[in-house]
Amino acid sequence: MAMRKKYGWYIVLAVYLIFLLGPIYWLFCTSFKYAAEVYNYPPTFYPHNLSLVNFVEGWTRAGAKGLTDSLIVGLSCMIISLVLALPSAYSLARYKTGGKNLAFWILSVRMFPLVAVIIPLFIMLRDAGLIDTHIGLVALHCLLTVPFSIWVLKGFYEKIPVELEEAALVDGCTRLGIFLKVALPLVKLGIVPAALFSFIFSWDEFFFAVIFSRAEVETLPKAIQGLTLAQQVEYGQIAAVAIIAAIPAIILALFLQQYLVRGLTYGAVKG
Amino acid sequence: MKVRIRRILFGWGLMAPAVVYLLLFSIYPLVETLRLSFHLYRLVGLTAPKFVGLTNYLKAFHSERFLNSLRVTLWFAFFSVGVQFLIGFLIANILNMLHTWTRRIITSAIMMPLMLAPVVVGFNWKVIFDYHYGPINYFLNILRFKPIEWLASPDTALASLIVADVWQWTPFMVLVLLAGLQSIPEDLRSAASIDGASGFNLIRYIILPSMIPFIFICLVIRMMDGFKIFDLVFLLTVGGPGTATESSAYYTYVEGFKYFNMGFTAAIAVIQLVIIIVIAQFFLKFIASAE
Repeated sequence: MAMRKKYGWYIVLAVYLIFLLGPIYWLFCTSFKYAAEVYNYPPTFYPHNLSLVNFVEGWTRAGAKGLTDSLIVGLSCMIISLVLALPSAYSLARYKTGGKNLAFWILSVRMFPLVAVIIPLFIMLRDAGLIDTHIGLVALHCLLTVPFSIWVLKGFYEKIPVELEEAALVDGCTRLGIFLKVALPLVKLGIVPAALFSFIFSWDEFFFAVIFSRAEVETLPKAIQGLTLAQQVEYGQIAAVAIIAAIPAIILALFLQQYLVRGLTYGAVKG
Repeated sequence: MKVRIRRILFGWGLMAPAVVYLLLFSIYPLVETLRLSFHLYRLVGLTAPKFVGLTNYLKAFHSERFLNSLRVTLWFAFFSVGVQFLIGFLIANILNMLHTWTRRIITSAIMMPLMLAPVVVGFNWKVIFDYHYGPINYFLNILRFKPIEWLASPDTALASLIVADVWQWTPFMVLVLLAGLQSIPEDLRSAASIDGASGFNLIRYIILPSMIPFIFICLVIRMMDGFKIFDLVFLLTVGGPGTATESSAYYTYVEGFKYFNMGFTAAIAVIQLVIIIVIAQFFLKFIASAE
C-alpha cells in the first residue's frame, strides 16, 4: 500500500465527494424551487416549497423541442455510426487494412481541434443547404463518434478467436458470410458501449449544435443556451431543462461503469 | 496471389463507407482550411477568395488578441490538467484502499460529472458562481469576506473556469489512474515494502513507473482537450471580462462566425493545429524516453 489505511484519508474522499455531488444537488434543488425562492437571499439549501412549475414551463419553452431534436439527432447518429463502424472495425482488426497508418489516422480525427475544420465544413454544409437541418447535424456528429466507435469495436473484434472464423472458412462460408454470421453476433457486447457512447457524445455536443443550427433544429444543449440568453432568464426553468438533459448521463454513469475506462481511453488501457 | 488481392479488396470494401465519409469530413476540410489560410476571404459580401500568401499568418503573429488567446489557453490547459492530475492521483490512491464493493459504488457516483453535457456543467457552475444568488458568495459572506464577482472579474474568471473543468474531469483522471494502480502486481509492492520502501519512496520508484502508460494517456487526452476549450468559455464568461478568458478556440469562433474573416480564421486554426501536433509529439518523445 502506498498509503496505510489511515481513516484520515477517508475524510479527504468524503470532502471530494461533497465537492463532486454538491453542485448536482444544487442543480436539482434549483429546479424544484419557485422562482421567488431561487432568487432568495440567503439561498435556501433545500426547496422550502417544492414545485414542478419550472419543469412545466421549461418543457413548453424549450424542453419539448430540445428533447425531440436531441433524440432524433442522437439516435440517428448512434445508428449511422454503428453502420459505418462495425464493418470498418472488423476490417481493421482482421484484415489489418491500411496497416498502422490508417488506424492511427482514424483515431487522430477524434483528437484534432475542430476549429481546424469548422470553416470548410460550414461552407460545405451551407452550399448543400444543410445548415439547420437534422441531417446536417447528424453528419457532423458522426465525425466525433465514428472514429471512437471504430476504436472501441476493434478491441472487441480482436477478442474473437480466429479459429471460429477459420472454421467457418473451411466450411465454405464466404468472407462476407463470416463477417455477418460469425463476427457480428459475437461482437454484440462491444456494440453496447459503442452505441451508448455515440449517443451520449451526440446528446452532449455543443460546438456544432450552436454553430450549425438556427431555428429548425434545437438540440437540448442549444435550447438551454437559448434560455440563458432569453429576455427573461429563469434560473429555475433552465435548471429543470438541464436536469432533463442530464438524465442520460446519470443513467449511463450508474450502469456503464465497466465500459467507461476502456471507452474513454480509446481502449488503450485494460480497464 | 489472387486470393491475397481478393482479401485486400474485401478489407477495403468493408472500410469504404467509413473512409469515404472521414475523407470528406476531415481530410478535405483540413486541406481546405490550409488553402483558405493563404487567401483573403470574407464570407459576407460573397466576393471570391483572394490569394494573399502569408499575410494572414503575419497578421496572426502580430495580433495581440490572438496571442492573448494562446496565453489564456496555455494557462488554462496546464493548470487545469495539473490540478486534475494531482487530485485524481490522490483520490485514485484512496479508492484503491477500499473494498471492491464500496469502491464500485463510489466510482459510479464519481462518474456523473463526466457524462454530463458541457451545457449542464456550464450552467450549473454559472448558478453556483452567481454573484448575488450563488452559495459560494453566501458562504463568503457568512465568513465575513466580501463576495467576489467570480465570472466577471479579470482575476478570478479564468480560475473559475478551471474550477468547473476540474470538477468535471478529475473523475476521468481518477478512473484511469485507478485502473493503473490496480494493474500493479501485488507481489511487486510487497517485495518493495519488505525491502524497506515505504510511502514516498514507494510511490516514486514502484508505483509511478508502473503507471506511466496510464499517466501518459490521461495527460495527453486531457491536455489536448484543454487546448480546445470552448464550451465552458462560451457558457460561463463569453470570453470575458474583455478577453481575459478568451481561449484560442473561442477566439477562432469569434473571428470566423462573428466577423466572418475566413482567411484569417483559417490561418489561426492552422497555427493551433500545429501547436497541438507539436505538443502531442513532445509527449510521445517524452514517454518513449521514459520507457
